[in-house]
This record gives sequence, structure tokens and C-alpha cells, in this order.
Amino acid sequence: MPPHRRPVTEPRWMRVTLCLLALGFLTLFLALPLAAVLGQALARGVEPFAAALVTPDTMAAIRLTLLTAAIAVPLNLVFGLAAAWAIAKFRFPLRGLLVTLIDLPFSVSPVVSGLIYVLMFGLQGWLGPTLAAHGIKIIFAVPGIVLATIFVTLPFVARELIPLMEAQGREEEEAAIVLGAGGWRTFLLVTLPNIKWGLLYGVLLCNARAMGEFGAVSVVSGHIRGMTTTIPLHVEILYNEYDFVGAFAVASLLALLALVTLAAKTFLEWVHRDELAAHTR
Amino acid sequence: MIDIRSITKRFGTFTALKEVSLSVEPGELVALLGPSGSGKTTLLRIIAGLEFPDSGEVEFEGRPATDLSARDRRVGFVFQHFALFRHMSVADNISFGLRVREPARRPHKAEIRERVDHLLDMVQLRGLAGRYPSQLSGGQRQRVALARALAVEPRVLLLDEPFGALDAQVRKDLRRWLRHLHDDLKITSVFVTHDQEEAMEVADRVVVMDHGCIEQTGAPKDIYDHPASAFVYRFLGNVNSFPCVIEDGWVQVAGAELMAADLARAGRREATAFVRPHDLEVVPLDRPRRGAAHMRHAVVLGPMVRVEVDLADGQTVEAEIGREAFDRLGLRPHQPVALLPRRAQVFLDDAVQARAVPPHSGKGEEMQWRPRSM
Repeated sequence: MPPHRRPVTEPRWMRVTLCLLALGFLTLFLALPLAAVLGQALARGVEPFAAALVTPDTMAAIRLTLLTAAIAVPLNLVFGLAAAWAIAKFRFPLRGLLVTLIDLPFSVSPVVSGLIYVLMFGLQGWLGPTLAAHGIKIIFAVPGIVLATIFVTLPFVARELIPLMEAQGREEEEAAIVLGAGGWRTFLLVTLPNIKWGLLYGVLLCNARAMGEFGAVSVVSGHIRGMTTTIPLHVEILYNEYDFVGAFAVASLLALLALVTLAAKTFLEWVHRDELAAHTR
Repeated sequence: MIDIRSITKRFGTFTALKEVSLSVEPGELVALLGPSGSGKTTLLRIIAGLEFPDSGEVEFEGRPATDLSARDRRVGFVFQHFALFRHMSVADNISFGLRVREPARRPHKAEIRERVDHLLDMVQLRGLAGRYPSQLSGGQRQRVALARALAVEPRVLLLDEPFGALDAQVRKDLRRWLRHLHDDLKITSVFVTHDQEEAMEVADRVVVMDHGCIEQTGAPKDIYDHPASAFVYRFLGNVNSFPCVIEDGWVQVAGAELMAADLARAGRREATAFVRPHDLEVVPLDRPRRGAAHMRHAVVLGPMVRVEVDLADGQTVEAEIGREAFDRLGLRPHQPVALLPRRAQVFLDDAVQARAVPPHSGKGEEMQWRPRSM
């Protein structure tokens, strides 16, 4: 009999099998593809790999992706904060509806998200002719890509903050106000420091999605090389043109982004696990 | 100092306060006492400006404050769960109210530091200035919360269940300490509690609340000796209640005949008699008797023993007797016993009440019959 009997009743062989099963699954579906991407990218050595990355079209795609994220992430940061604040700290009519609406981008297919914007701003859409008359182009142009990205990444910050702020309650803010602090100082000195790690976590996930989004952006982009292609779209174009080294080289950028995000996420969860909301997704 | 006039507050369909009026004198320490849902915390939050009444008025020092925001009321508020700023050190928590003042009214850094040191001394936490709230015990956190509230030199100190989240022992020490602190500072204070012992021990004046109304206001002793209603009587400490019939002043309580002289001309009425456990004497019987009560269980609580007794009708009542008397009586479980109430408070309804006592003087002075005066 072993010196320490555990309360769990599963026999050893079952625990080992389950672990191996999980590990095998992860290897097959995550580690191997990742290795394949890097392998393909470096199939003909480092030079073609580097060359594929510095072509003007690729550079343009990288610039557009960074621009899109630079607009979408701060906007969703502000929106997410405002929405989470309202939902977690106040009771008002239609509060439940707002919570549901925030989740909408998660439950709708990204393609549909993109189509919504085509229907609204496209040439055959509701606002398209008016916009065209004023020389404003949204669909098949950068504004459309930014809009679609904002829509798709909308829930990340709010979803992260709502449970956190709800758990923290309103007492600290009330204490600050009774002590004479105004609304803005209360937010800066009390609310923000309490949620900063949760906020950073939400922004991290939001950014990863903003840079990696394919479906919604694909619908509104128009795939104009060097003009309206983000990194994921550029990968698809290169792949369809049988430029495997190029496609996988650019794809490896996205893979790198994923790895960095994952590492940062793990780090945040490890250091600030008490301050992060419990994850259900 | 604080005048509250016919305040009503509703949350949806729930009425938290109904036409409540209350005055707090300068330097007074007032307890709002009541069960949960009685509206006491809502009243406190309305005084603080954290909640606004649907109707009625609040005045501070004779000036209207009903529409004044919490920020401008100059009150100190101590929250039940402390609500310390968790990312700030003890010193930063205490100085918060001074640091957020507009530059013209903000004290110098050195002055702030001096004030914080002084407050830390006062709440006996010198040396913990650099700690964070999570590194403190419950009692220490509560004292930091108090120091933080006092740092802004409030006109009124408001405390919401200040000892509710603490251990029994810490609670006892802290409430004695609060009473002493109040005696030194003489700051007008209102605190909320559901613990009658706490209210009785700490407050100058107790306001008993139930269902959004004030049931009674008075000094602790007056309230205990002359409860205005059956609710107050029941709420102030343990009590056994006996449904009974009173006829020409005679009333039968737990098998004993008592006389309520004040109700001698009230005719025959249904009533409720209340007997405090320490007014209930337990006498062992040699042999079972029809309708006798039976001893059920005894708990030794230091010098007192709490005895639970099953009545013949199935009701369980509590009696409290001294340890010595208990040992002398040699009470055992299942033993048949008789109950002798030394005094009972009989309520015909909430408005009419009278004290009932045994009509004969038996053993000892406590049993002597005397006409009730109130």
C-alpha cells in the first residue's frame, strides 16, 4: 500500500492514459501545425524567408494590420471600460439586453459581421450611395476593415472587466467620494488601479484577435494587394498563388504573435491571478 | 446636528423607509438597531448622501443637505467590509481624503504626514503605515478605515455595521475602544447594528427600527426597561413568548398564575406574555405530573447555565440560571420540572402592555409582589 493514499479513486493507468490523450491531441492539432508553418517557411533557407517578409506588399499588409489594431484596440478599450463600468456598478433598465449585445460578436459568424457592413456601407447598401456622393469610401477600403475589426473584437475588454468589477463592488468608489474625491479622480485613483491587470489582459486578447481576424475583414476588404490586405488576408493571397515560402513566412509572423500573446497571457494569469476574473470561455 | 424629516425611500416596490424622522444632537453617539431589512442601513446611507430619499428632508447644522452630494457633506463613513483601497498602503489610505482636496485647501505634504502619524497613533497602528490592507487583520483594517474617515475631520461619523465582519473577541475589544474614542473626540456619530448588545454597550441613544419605521428611541436602559412594543421587547435580547388569556388581571404563564395589576379592569382578553430567560425559575418535580414540563438540555455558559425546557404543549422555552443554583437543583435531562416566572411583560396589542408578577411573596425578594409602575 502506498504511504499516501489519495482521495481520488481513478486508478493510475487511467490518469496516465488521460494525460497522454490530452498531450497527444495538443501535439497533433497545435504543436505539429506550428512546426509545419515554420518548417515550410524555412524550407528553402533563411534568405527566401527574409526576402518574403520584406516585399512591398507584405510590408503594406503589416502596416495595415498595425494601423487597424492601433485604432480598434484603444476604441474597444474605452468602450469596454465604459460598458463594464455601467453594467457592473449600476442597475438600469435594459441592462440585461446590453450584456447580451456585448456578446453578440462572439455568437455571430465573422462572415456575417462583415456582410453587415457591406449591407450598410456598400454601394448597394443603405448608406453607400450617400457616402459615395460625398467621396467617402468605406467598403473595400481601410475604414471598412477597421470597422469590421472593431465589431469583432468588441467583447474582449468588456467581458474581462464585467465579472471583475462586479466582484469588487462599489464600496471603494463610495468611500472615495465620501472622502471628497470627484468622479474623475475616483476613477483614476481607485477604479483603474483595481482593474489594471484585468484591463491589460483584455487588451492583450483584443489585440491578438484584431491582428488575426480573417473572416469579417475578408468580406469588406476587397483584397487589393498592398492596399487593403491585412496579414491574414495576405497569407491567403500568397498561398493561393502557390507562393508557399512567402505564405508560410508571413503566417509565421502570426504564429509568433500568437506565441507572444500566449506567453504574456500566461504571465499575467500567473502573477495576477487574484485580480483577473475567472474565465468561462 | 443632523435633522431628518419624514424621509421615505423605495427600491422598486419595496419601501425601505416610511416617513422616518430623527434628530441627532451634537456630540451624540446614536445606534440604529434593527433586524436586516429594517431600513437602518438605508437611513445611514441617506445621511451620508450615498442614497437619496424619494421624499423628506435632511439637514446638517440647520442647513438643508438633502440635495448635497456625498462629496460635499463632510461626513466620515466606515463601511461594513472596510472598503479600504486595496492597492494603497495604510498611510495612503488614511491620507486619501486630504490628498484629493483642491490645491487651495490641500495641506502640505509634511502636514499630511504629521496628521497620518497622529491618526495611526490614535488607532494604535503606529509602525504599520507601509503595510497594505491585505497584510492586516480584520480588526486592524477596521481601525484603518476609521482613521481614514477621521482624517478629513468630518462633521459626522457614520458607521455601517462597523464590527459585523469581525470575530467575537475582536468585536468586543473594538467596540469598547470605539466608545472611549468617542468620549475623547466627542464627534457626532451614528452607527448601524443588528446586535442589541452592541447598541446597548456603545450608544448614548438607541433607535430601534423595524420595517422601515422607528419603533422606539431612547437611552439603552430606558429601552430595555420600558420597551414600547412587543417587537422591541422581543428584539432586545432573548425572550420566551407565551400566548395567553388575561382575565381581570390574572394570567397563566407556563403553568403559573401571575397578576398584572394594571390590567385588572381590562376584562377577558387574548394577550402575549413575554418572559426573559433570566426571569424564569426552574423547579425540579419529584414525580411526573399531568401537564408538567420536562427538562430537555442544559448548556453551561461560564457562570450561567442555559436550560431548555419542553412544555406539555410542545413549545420549547429557555431559562437562564446561575451555575451554583443549577448544581444545587441537580437537573437532569427528561426530568419533570415546573416553571416559575418571576415577572412577565403582557402585551394586549402593541399599544397596551403591563408587567405581571406572582401575587404572593415566596422565597427571596425577587418574588415579591409589587404594583407595576411605568
